Amino acid sequence: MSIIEIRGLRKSFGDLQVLKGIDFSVEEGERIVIIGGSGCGKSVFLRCIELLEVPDAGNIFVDGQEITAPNVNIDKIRQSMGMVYQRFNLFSHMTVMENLCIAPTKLLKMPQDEAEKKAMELLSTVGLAAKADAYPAVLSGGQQQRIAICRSLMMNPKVLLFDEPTSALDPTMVGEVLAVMRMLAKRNLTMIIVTHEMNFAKEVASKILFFADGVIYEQGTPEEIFDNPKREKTIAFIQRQKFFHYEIFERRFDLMEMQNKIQLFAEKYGLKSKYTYRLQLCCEETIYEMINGCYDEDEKNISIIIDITYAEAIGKSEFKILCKGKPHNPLAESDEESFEDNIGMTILRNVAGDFEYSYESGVNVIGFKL
Amino acid sequence: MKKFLTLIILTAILFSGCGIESRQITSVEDLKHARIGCWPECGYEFAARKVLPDAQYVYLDFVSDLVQNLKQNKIDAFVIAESYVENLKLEGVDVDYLPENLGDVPTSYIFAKNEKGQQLCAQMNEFLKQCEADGTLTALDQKWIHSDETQRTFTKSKLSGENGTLKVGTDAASSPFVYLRGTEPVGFEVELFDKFCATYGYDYEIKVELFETMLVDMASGKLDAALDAIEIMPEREQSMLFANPTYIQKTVAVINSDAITGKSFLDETKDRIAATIIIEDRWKMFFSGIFSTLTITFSSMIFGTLLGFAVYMLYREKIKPVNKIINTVIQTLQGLPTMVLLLFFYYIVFGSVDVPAIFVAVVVFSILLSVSVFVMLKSGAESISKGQTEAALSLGFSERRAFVKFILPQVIRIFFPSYRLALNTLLLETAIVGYIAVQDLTRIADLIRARTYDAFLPIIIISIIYLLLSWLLKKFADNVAIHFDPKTRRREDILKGVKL
Repeated sequence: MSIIEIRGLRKSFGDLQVLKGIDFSVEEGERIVIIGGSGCGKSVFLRCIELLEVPDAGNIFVDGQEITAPNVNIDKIRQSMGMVYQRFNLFSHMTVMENLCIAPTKLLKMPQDEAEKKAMELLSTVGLAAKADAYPAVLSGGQQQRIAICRSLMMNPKVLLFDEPTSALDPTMVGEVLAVMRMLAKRNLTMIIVTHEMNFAKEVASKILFFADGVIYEQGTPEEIFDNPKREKTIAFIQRQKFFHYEIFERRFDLMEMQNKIQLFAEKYGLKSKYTYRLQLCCEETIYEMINGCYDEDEKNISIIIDITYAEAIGKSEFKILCKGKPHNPLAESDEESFEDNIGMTILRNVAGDFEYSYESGVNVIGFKL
Repeated sequence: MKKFLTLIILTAILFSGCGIESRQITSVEDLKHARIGCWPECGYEFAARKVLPDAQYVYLDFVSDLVQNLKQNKIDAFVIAESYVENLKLEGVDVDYLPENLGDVPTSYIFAKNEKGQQLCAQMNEFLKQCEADGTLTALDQKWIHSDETQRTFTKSKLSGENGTLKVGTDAASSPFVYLRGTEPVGFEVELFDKFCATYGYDYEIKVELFETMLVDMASGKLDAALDAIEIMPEREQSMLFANPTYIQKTVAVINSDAITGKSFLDETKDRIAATIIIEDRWKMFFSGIFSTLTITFSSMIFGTLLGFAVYMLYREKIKPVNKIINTVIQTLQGLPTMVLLLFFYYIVFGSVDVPAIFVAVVVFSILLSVSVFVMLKSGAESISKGQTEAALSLGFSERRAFVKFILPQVIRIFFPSYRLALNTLLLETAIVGYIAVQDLTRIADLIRARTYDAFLPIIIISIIYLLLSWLLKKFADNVAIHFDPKTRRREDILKGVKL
């Protein structure tokens, strides 16, 4: 039987529909990683499982028991689910040891000595035994988050939920928290993790959920999602695609303005100057080729649209150029023109690849990759 | 220490103010355009205005205030009954008065304007007629008005009270007609009333309160009668039921005396200290005042804190209509002056219920403190991250336990300084309860002032007492605060089972 089962989960905040019907189940020992853009509802989904947000519709079953049913003892169910927050949320008026021991002693009636013994063991495994009597305020973010994980583990949870556990951390401290989570993954603890750490997700997840538009947009093994994403938004997210768009409507267009815009686009996403120069070159050569090839000398009605999709994750760009006018394939072999006339296209052929050309209802469509 | 030094300097300045030269007044003519002190809207002012219509009248509530203002030349004279001045002179107050009678003013008792009051009034009139006939009035006149304190013996008669107990009010500031000897009201009217009760089979209880409070208590039926040598005036007769006159007062203008007392400053100061503290065991009055003030403060502290906490816990249940009511009530309470609230509760809420005034004071101050406590808890809890509550919930604590175990201890630590301030404010604000007939420290100072005609010493004594009380309260709160600071706990208390 699934340890968590979710049917038709919906949640809105006012007019904003955050979750639009989610069906999902988690098996014991699975490690689910939820990814997605900001505002896609992945944190809300996690908070619904913990019932920190009350769903508008749908049922959630934890270990066979419906937690969305009325009159259910939610406090009891929460004891078997741990949650780790982005902002750690340690009890600031208590020492580390008290933070760890209060829940098992008060809720599970565990004797104080036993609880403290267990706490010391956990603290040793995360390397913080020396901080047992420190107050949270004196600890670094990474240390606090490791203690927050220990605090959840003190209750022997069946499921551990992580809500962006490293997002509030200094980059230098992310590693220590991920290390602890990797260790838990090896112990086959059931975990649901919302994170932006893609490499970590790839490494520990048994299943990846990609959230978009308030639903589970695509799911699969890390290989399926990261190496062969199927759907458009997944690809855009995984490859971290960036878009450049430019339109030309006259023969004497402002070349310098276009080049400058490409330059700014490149700087924004940290492209190398050599690669930027090639982007500019490809655009310039293609545009002049098309202006000369598609239009007569006195043609006023010019329309060229350039779209560049840059995939940050792999460092490659895809060009798509739409040109309204006479059919003209700039890369077709031609004997009439001299070598010198066609020098632009020669350069283009040298730097880019995967050329495509088609002509449909008066529009030339040219595609290539750089 | 600095505070006390400032006080001493202040005292010295006030004392030195007594010696300013005044202009000479020898006849009523000299008072034509003078500043004349009097009780607000009293019969003596009424009489004086007929003779001196162009004078400027200054209202002061107590004889002691009139004397004080005269001595500091803030007024040129004050008008009052001759019998009062004679009494002042007997008590060694250094004043004189012009021999002219500005007008006769009859004084008497007033009774409640209801059936019982009418009956009592009729009995009193009958009794007065009888007293006049058998010379009782003349004897009392001789004893209280023309003798000094040593001959004015009075002990309350053993009264059967077969026809019930009368509730009687007085402001006890009309020596020699009604005044306090120690804490016991005595005087011409008291003894006469005592004899009246003995004749007609009543017992009586005297409640000492402010004049205005007494009049309202009469109107609301909390009192059966008021004895205060009240001047019978036509406009008063419309709203009050007067008995026949017990005494016909002569209105006189009191001026500064030229006489030199011949006492040294040191002797005079000694006398004043004796009058304020030692004579008639007045120090006991100060202690009873401290007791009242502390009773109100500490009872309100306990009930107010509990009430504020209870209301906040109710507020956390998030029941919409209930919270709306709570918010409205809190806003209303915050928008009213304490004084107004006190009067509202005394005259309206508890108007028709016979409860001790000190109880009303405790109720009002408890409510006021509970408002502060509520606001502190609310804003304190908001300032603690919501995340800690969620963390506690996800560990499996219930909403209420999460609040009590994790949020409340932090809130208390944050709000303690403002709580301490609220307690201090509470202690100081209790000074207004005199208006509803509670004899707290401030009111005691008023009463003693009314007897000794010396404003400085009682005020300075209570100032010092208030400073001391507020200092003690601060120390007490500081001691409590330590228990709420986790950083002050010992290491052994935190780690019980583990040996590092």
